[in-house]
Amino acid sequence: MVKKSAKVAPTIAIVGAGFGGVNQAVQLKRAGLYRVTIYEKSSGIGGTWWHNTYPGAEVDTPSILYSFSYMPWNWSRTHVRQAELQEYIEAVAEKYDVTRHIRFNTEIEDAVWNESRQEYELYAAGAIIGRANFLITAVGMLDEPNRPTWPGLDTFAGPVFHTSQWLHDVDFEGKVVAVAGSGSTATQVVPEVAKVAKRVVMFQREPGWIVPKNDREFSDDEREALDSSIAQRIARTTMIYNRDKVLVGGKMWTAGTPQNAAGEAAARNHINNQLGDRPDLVELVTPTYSYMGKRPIISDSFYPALKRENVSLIPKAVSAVTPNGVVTTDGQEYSCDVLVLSTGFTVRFLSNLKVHGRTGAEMQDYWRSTGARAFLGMLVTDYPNLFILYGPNTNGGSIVSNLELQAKYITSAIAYARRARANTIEVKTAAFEKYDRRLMQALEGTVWNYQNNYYKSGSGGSGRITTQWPDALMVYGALTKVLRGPLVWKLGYRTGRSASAQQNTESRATLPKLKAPARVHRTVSVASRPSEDTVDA
Amino acid sequence: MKGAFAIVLGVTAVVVTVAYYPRLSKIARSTKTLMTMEVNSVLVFDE
Repeated sequence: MVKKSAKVAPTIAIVGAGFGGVNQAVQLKRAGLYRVTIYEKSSGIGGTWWHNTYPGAEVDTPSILYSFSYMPWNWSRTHVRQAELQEYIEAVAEKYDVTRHIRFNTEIEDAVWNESRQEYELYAAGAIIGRANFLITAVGMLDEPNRPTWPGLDTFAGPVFHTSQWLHDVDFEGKVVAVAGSGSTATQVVPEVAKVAKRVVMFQREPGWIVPKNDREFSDDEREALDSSIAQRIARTTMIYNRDKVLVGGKMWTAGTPQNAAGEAAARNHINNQLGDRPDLVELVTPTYSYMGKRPIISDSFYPALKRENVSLIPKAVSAVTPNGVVTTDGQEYSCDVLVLSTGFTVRFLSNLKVHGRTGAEMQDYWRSTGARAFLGMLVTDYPNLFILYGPNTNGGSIVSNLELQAKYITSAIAYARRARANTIEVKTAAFEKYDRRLMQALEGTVWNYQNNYYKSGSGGSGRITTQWPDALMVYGALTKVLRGPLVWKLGYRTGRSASAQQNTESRATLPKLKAPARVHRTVSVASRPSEDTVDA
Repeated sequence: MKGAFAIVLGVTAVVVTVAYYPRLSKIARSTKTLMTMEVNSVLVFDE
């Protein structure tokens, strides 16, 4: 039986107001879906670029690609820095009137599917603070700082902080600064800190492949050219095409292919060009694993920084901390005044958000048994009306372009359900399983399988690659256009209280620390709700 | 009839080209400038 409820615009909750969340809201509003609320745990928008304000924070992707196709920007540099990216995302939110949909300082901890009401109940601080017919998570996969558990870390006498929680009031002048870690962030931090610190000591567990960035300011001619939105769009599309030519078929991350060999050759040339006169450093920074086995680092400034007199590279991991410094795995102690933890992030899809689906199962528990997986990285069977942005196996290509493809797919799915006057939409089990099998086949034989990297995070011990998309962006884009409609999506209609709804209610009784709603909620049906722009209870 | 249509089409094309030439020319120049930028757009593959 079809209910009238679907005639009313559905309420949509987005968790996270970074690039993904803001863009999703823009796409929904463009499609006429205005009843959107974005829940953001911080006091501002930007996500990654709101939190990561360390010196030297900048994007690795060319600026023209790190922008939405509908919002070209007159960038100042080929690879822009945090402040400009923050300015950009705020401008997008302002232009498309997204800001008024955001509830800041609100961290959704649990989202529980209520089968009888056909909506998600959103909990913060143990109480329901909102409800939504559709839930879209936009929390990224690298949200949780990886804070080491080294013995003595709390005893360090000086300032100690993670790069994503930078203490801007710490003065580095005349100080000895220890930087633990040698990944992408560390290679941006070290050159900047070395400009002011007395000495920088960098601790490297394992070197990473580094390729040149060719970062520079745009010339006046280029800035003038960027003013043409049509030209910028053409350039953007061409750049994506040129990248994809190399990535299609996954040859870049398959050892022994010409593409992989060319990438490694470029990285080796970069080392020789910049450190050719320092064979001692060449040995320290040259990896022993296959190119692309881990995420490559993109940097022009790191190798020159290593040649500075006040920078030391210690090829050992930190194993302990004393009040005066750090101790490496060989027992050597290094004195320092400031300790910077450039230890990266813990990969965790959905971050701290616990989503309970139709069966009551929490997503992380489900993924623990199967390894993190989702249809096109967005849909999971038995989690109706849930969409994950930047979910499992969607990392790769250009993240902003990827987010745009996903947001359009999600918007189409919601519009499809609405047109059919359905209450729910989810992926069919058979389609999900078939997609997953093909995905696993594509991931077989990639160099990612043979290295210790974050790509296997959340695999539940299965060794499954959970983060990476194994082909070109345009292949993913094509799939988002094809894998939709009745062959893939299953629609649901409210026909009364079903057995599964009862099961869901029972399972909720076992949820930890979920208190009763803070205040009495309206018990009106979706059909009789007034049209409103938010989904707040 | 076909000849008249072709003439109208041709005249329209000429008028549009002349009227919009400065703008089209600027777009072409800008596109060329942006397409010849030397940035590492191939070896980089994620954020």
